[in-house]
Amino acid sequence: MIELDSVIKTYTLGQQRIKAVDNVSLTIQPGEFVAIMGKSGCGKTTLLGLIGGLDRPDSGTISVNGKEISQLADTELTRYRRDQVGIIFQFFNLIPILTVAENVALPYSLQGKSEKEIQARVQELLSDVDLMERQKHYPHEISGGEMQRVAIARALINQPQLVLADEPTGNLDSRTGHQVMETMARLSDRHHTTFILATHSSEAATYATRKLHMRDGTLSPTKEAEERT
Amino acid sequence: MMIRLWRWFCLRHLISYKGRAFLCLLGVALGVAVFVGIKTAASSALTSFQDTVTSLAGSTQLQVTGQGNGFPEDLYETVASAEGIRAATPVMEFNVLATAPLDEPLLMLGIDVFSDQDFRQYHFVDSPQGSGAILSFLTEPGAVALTEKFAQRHGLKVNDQLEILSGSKRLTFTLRALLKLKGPAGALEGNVALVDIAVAQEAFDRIGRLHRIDLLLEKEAHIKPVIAHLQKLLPADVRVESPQKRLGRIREMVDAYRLNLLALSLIALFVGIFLVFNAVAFAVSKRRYEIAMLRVLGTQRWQILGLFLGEALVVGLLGALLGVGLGLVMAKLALKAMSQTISELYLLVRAESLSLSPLIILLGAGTALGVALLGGLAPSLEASRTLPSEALYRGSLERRLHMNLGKISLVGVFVLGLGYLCSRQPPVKELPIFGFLAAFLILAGFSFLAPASVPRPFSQPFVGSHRLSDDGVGNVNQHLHTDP
Repeated sequence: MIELDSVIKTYTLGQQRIKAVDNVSLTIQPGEFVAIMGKSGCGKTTLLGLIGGLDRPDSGTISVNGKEISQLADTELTRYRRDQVGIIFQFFNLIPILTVAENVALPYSLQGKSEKEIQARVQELLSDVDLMERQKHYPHEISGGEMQRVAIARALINQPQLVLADEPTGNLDSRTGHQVMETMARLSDRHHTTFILATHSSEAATYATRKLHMRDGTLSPTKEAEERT
Repeated sequence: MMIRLWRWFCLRHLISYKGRAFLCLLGVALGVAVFVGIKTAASSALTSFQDTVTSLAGSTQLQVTGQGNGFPEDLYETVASAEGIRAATPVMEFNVLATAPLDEPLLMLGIDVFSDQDFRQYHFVDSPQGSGAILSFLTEPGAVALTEKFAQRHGLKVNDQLEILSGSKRLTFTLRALLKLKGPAGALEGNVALVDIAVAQEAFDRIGRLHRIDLLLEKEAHIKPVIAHLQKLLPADVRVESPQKRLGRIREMVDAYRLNLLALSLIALFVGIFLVFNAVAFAVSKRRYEIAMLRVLGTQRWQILGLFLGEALVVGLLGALLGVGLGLVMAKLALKAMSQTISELYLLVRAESLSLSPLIILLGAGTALGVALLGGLAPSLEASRTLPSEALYRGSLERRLHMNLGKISLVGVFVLGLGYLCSRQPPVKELPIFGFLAAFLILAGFSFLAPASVPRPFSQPFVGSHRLSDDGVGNVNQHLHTDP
């Protein structure tokens, strides 16, 4: 379970202080597929970064399965990112000098797995995302949709409890975006992983089981969700 | 795991940027090469000089030496009859050149064969006792004995003529005997010629002069009082010392020479550090995105540090291999120059072979690794400090440098000032320690000023570049720039 309590994150730009996340409290149950919707710059990515342990809040607490990650030492936080979190970015963020298979293998390799274990797991995941024939290609040799599927496989290789997807369809055409979302939903279902999706696309958000709206750093249920309640 | 990561992230980059890696490796190698080369050459020259002095000295306990043209022959009687002296023999030494087509330096020794027998043993070819040969070249003016090695190399046989050049004077001798490569004849790889002292004095226009008197002491005599006593009997410009002391003087001279060159090698090593720093800093800056992704995916700081230090270490290892190899080539070349300097100032030295010291080679290799690690340390630490949230865009290092540019430049000016002050200081025990320090500080000072001379736009962070927009976390910053 993920619990955020009164989380605030502020950035200073010159003389200006901007609250990217403003007093956010949120609880996400294991296995939930949550969509955080909002315009660019509303603070969605900052919030994902905080939950994913990429950054620390100025105040408030973030707990994952009862452990307060905002208080972890850097070594522990790094281990948390490695073992418990998978991240999918809008622009895929694959390592250009690594092949598709190596990109997928990287987080697993960081866990100190053997070559044999890595190979087996990579093959399994590449098969899941239908990229077996592309495994020796480099990122610049494959399409955007394929790159995002590689990123999904990379995010899932360590069997994380939590996958954070930041605008995963933002850089894809609608058909490919739809395919990617299908893949994510299918894998989320199969692996019982908690998915938090940051998107401004209402189409992508339809795959979520819960939708939240973010504006100027604050979080609220979407109108649709409010109407339902 | 680290090996796999290193192979993926460092080896591939080293291969991709071969030119830069090679330049960096060359910087380290050159520093090490100068270091190994000078040390090896100096040590080889000294060993050769030591062998020469020891071979020529034989059992000599003390030597009376003069300066330049030597000293009057009359002093021989004074010295030989002095208290505590058991035996004395006069010696003349000339550095000459066997003329073309031989074209080789020779140390021509003028000895008194009778008194010399207590000091040195000469072994003649085809004459087990040697007396016949000795007598023959004693009785004939212009007679010379050469080593068998030298004679064979130039196809010279007994009774052949040998023409030599001493200064501008040409002299012709007749080869009357061949010496085995033993005792004093083994000095200088066999480039020794033996003549009667009277023949030498006449041929070289030094009648009534001596270059040296070798001495043996009475059994009960102590060296120091004898030296003091002799020194009182002799003019001030005539020196009495043991062959070892004489060797020590040469060692000091070579040490000073070596120190100068070692200072140069340290400067070369400093340039190596700078090149490694530059290469690793470039790699860190260029791979900012990858490092950030590694951090995002769970790579620990120490692992990032290890990756980049490992890269520097590989450059150091290859630099060490290349540097030691180059150093030995350099030593061979420097050996000739060093031998020439010693020959011109003291005694003909003909060092042909390098005396390889494992310690020097290990020291050179260790220096290469040290240089590489030192150069790579700062940028590697910088890489390890990369935060996953802030570093998904490039240029962080340059930005930090720009932020500290004023301070760095001030340090540069301060270091240059220190360099100037050091350059004004006198030598310490005749060694230009402050001079070397000044050279180093001036180099360091200009290095600190270098970042300020780089055009600013060149090293601006890539804010707004495609790479920044390539990442999700970076979006936060991008969005915040645009949001009110």
